[in-house]
Amino acid sequence: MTRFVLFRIGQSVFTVFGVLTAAFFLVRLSGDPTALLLPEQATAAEVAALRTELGLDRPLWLQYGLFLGKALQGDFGMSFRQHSSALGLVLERLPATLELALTAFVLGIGMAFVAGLALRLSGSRRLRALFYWIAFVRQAIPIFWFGLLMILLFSVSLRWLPSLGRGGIEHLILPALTLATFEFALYLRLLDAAFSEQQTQDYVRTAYAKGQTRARTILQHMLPNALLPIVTVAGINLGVLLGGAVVTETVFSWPGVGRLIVQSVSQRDYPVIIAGILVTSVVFVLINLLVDLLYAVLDPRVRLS
Amino acid sequence: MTQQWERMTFIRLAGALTVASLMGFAASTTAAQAQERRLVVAQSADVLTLDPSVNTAALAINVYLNVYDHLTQINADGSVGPSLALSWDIADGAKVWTFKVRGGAKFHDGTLVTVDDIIWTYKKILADAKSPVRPYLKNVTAIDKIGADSVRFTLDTPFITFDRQVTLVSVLPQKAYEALGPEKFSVQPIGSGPFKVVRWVKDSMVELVANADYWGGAPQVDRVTFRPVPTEAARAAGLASGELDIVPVLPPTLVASLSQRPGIRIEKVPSNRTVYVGFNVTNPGLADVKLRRAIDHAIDREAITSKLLRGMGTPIGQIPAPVLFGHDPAIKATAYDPARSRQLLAEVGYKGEKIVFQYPNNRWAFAEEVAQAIGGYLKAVGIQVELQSMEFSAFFPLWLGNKLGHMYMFSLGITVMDADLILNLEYESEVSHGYWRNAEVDNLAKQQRAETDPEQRKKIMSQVWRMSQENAAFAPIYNEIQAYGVRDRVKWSPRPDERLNFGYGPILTGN
Repeated sequence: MTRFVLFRIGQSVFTVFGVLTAAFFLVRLSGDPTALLLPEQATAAEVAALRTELGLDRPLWLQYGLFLGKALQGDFGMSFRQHSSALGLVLERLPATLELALTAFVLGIGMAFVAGLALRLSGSRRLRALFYWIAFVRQAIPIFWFGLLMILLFSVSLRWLPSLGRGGIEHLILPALTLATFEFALYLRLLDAAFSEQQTQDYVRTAYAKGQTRARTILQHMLPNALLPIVTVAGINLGVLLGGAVVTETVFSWPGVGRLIVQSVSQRDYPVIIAGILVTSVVFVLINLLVDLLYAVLDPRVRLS
Repeated sequence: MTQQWERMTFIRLAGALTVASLMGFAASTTAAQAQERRLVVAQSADVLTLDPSVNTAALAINVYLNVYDHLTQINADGSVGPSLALSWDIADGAKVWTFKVRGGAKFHDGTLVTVDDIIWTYKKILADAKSPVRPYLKNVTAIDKIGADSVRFTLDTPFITFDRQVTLVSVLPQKAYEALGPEKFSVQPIGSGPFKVVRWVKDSMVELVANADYWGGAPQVDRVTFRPVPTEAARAAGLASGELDIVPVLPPTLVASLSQRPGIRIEKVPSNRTVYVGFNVTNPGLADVKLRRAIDHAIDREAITSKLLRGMGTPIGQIPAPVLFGHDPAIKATAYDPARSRQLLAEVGYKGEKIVFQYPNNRWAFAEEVAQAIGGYLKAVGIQVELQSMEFSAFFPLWLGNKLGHMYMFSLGITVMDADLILNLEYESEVSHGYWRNAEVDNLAKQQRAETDPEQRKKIMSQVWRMSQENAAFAPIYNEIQAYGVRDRVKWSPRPDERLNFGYGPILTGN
């Protein structure tokens, strides 16, 4: 077990290193930031001076070496545009992203479980058709458009909820629901498919043959087995959510990591882009690690050797 | 069917949310807050720093204008007037500028604004190679304290608009800045302007309160909140829901629908911004003036402004907008004359050589649509155009580095409200980003820069605009009319310079 964990951690570190290297060279392919940092009145000499000041006139291998040296000490440089450390700017926005992503995740998966179990336990075809329709319609509407519809209904027409920014719980409701309903649709289908797969298994037939009730069979026997595929998808999906739900953050003016990274890309703020990618990749890798471990706990067939 | 399901989803969610929302949102607009006169303003992005010595972004300057003072200020009518400086005089052919500084102005920490603070601010900027403010002061060679209350700037060349240029430099408190250090100052700044910064929550809000001790009198608003709202649709929705009071620069598409909503009005103002087409005349394909004239005549500016922009623009024949000092109302927009275009093309023997048309698509409203319209007009007279739409962040370095190879579209909004900067940016050989250059224009530009008689200056500048039009150096397209969405309870009119200054500004009535 310990060996497996250590191996996976080593793998994760290597992954993050690879991501950082790719990010370093990709941002430098995206174009020179110096001209964008200066006003229209800047002369060529001033552009050149700034390039030197930022160290962007050095050969690429040297820039990369210096970057790695500093990165190993946890220093990802200062933002080109703000008087703050790039990593600090990203970490400042992490709470907002965590708040939104985790709320949406829990809400979405919770609703999916309630709905999924309800339709299994009741066995109602109508209920099943209804839930599938809701999931289908929700998944068919792009997040951006769905977010705007939410705003038009709850903020503009009914004036119940604020449409923009982060603040109290009332600010969280619309963006979280926008994401959560999408998650709901995803997990409902997954859960239902997983249940259907279990339905025909021998152990289910045996359970019924032994005289188990429908509810017990579903909750005690089928549910643990149906969870496995969900855990895998949920891990990846939570990683994506924590990387910043860019569209939702943009529509609802939510001050999260995704918006910061997109903004930094358009401004060519290299250090912030790289710090943003670092944070999101670390989060992603960590969650994957947890999923692997959780998987081993849930499924004894998965050996850790 | 789909709509019905949508409605069902809404109703279900609505039911679940009613309780939560009644507790939360409704409670936040209590009577106590209603008594305070507060104003919420949307911008498309957050400020990146509150330290004005290291940032020149237009969105940030809107905040700085409310927090800081400057030696002079641009008035709402575009003229330049006193601010921290009570008066100033010009010597040595506009090379030496002496500003007499007002006594009694105080920073938000209670200390007096001194000549030393002003000199320190300018020297700090000049010493900082990373500061984007520094290029504004490139002509300054010496800054001296004269007596107890004056500051003298010596320039290396005559610069008649230096009194406007100093509006771009916010005065900082030396002691407080040094005590806090740049990093802290950039989040908890201290200025001397009509508002103090209460808090800055990044990507959420910059909150300001009125400075009751302001030398210009306390502002009419108690609290101003700048909120970054990245999407146009969300800004419009925020205005409609009452969460936002002022939404600047609405796209033409939203003007009509928003103006029909109760509680909102649309304020329109002809801006300082012009959208124009430029030519790289050093490219053999565009070197012939007749070909450029053919392009100029092929564009129907009237249709572009009245139909495409829904009236949010006025055709123009020069780069300086009508609100700028130096605009010549006698110069008219080039007439739409496709027959003349075809004739000119025949004269130059144009045989369908491809012309590339580059433009930024996310800098100002409707750039993509206008560029496509221009492309269409050129095709209509037989010119082969290849449209190259790019992000502003890809386009701007090409513009700044004089690397646009063909035909391009650009836009300038001159915040100092004087056309001198246009000569500098688009005409003068030494520094310009335009490609049509000649010695006569260079001389005229220099001449007006040393000319102290305003009428004479206008005449000189007008000569350049005329030569430019005759040579089809550019094809100016339109002057942008800007629309602001304003809630009815706010009595306020926008300025032509795209700036938001609430110091003397809006009066709030009711809720």
